[in-house]
Amino acid sequence: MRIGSSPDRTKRLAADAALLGAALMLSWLEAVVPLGGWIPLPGAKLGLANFAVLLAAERYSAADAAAVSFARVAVAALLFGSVTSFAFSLSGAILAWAALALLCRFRPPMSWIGVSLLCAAAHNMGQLLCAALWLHEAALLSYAPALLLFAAASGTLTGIPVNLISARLGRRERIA
Amino acid sequence: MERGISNRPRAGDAAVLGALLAAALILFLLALRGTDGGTVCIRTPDGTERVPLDRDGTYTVVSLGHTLTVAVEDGAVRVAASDCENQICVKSGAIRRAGQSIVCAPAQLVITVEREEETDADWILP
Repeated sequence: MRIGSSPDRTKRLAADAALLGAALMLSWLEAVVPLGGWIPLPGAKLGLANFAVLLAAERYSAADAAAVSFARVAVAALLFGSVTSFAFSLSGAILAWAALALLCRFRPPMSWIGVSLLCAAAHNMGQLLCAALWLHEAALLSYAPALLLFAAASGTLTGIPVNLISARLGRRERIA
Repeated sequence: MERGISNRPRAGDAAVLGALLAAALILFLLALRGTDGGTVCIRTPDGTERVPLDRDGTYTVVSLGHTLTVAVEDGAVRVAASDCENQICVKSGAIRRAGQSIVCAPAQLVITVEREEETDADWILP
């Protein structure tokens, strides 16, 4: 990817900002539609915003994904969250992004579904570790199997649209 | 090559999904095995009896002329019935955490919960 020329940089900034907007919309959707009634897992979220982060990685690079992801965590915490939820989702986002960056770097034979699955699992495990450390409660780790199972479902759900959009847009199209 | 991650499902996706499900299953089984259900310790002047906390059951204890019924249900233990005067042991309700106790003074009976792992409470006030 050429980042040298400034019009390209500006386009990329605009695209990242648009994706951040999309990520925040998805975060908002999750905040106003509580899953608690259907899924008996406290704190479990579909991670719909992961979709926008993956799209940033798909269209641009892992660096753009980092910008979208961390900005989303910060703004979503200000809009819908608390200090605790910020710490939890930041640690999840860091681990998820680390997984994403490694996958973008080494490109194993998988599609965005596999990437999404690994990011969702990394996000959940990051959050859980943070919660266990925060509360000094190792027993929380027994919650891991349920969260991994949930990540398997939500990761597939967010990975499929990334595959579809990637196929529709083709190689060269840019979002902005 | 600009990017290598495919936009069509590939074998790696199924492998990742399988690995996640397997990890969840293994962790679940490990968690099950590591569970320490705890022990109920029933102490009377005549001696001490220990029964598992994770198996439901009803036990009749006779101590100093009083007869008490101790019930273990859903990982908690309580005195279901007692023929003592004040019924404090019955009114104490159910206990489940390590270190908690139920006392029946007339029968000189003390029920405590014992567990290997640390208690999850900050303090237990006697």
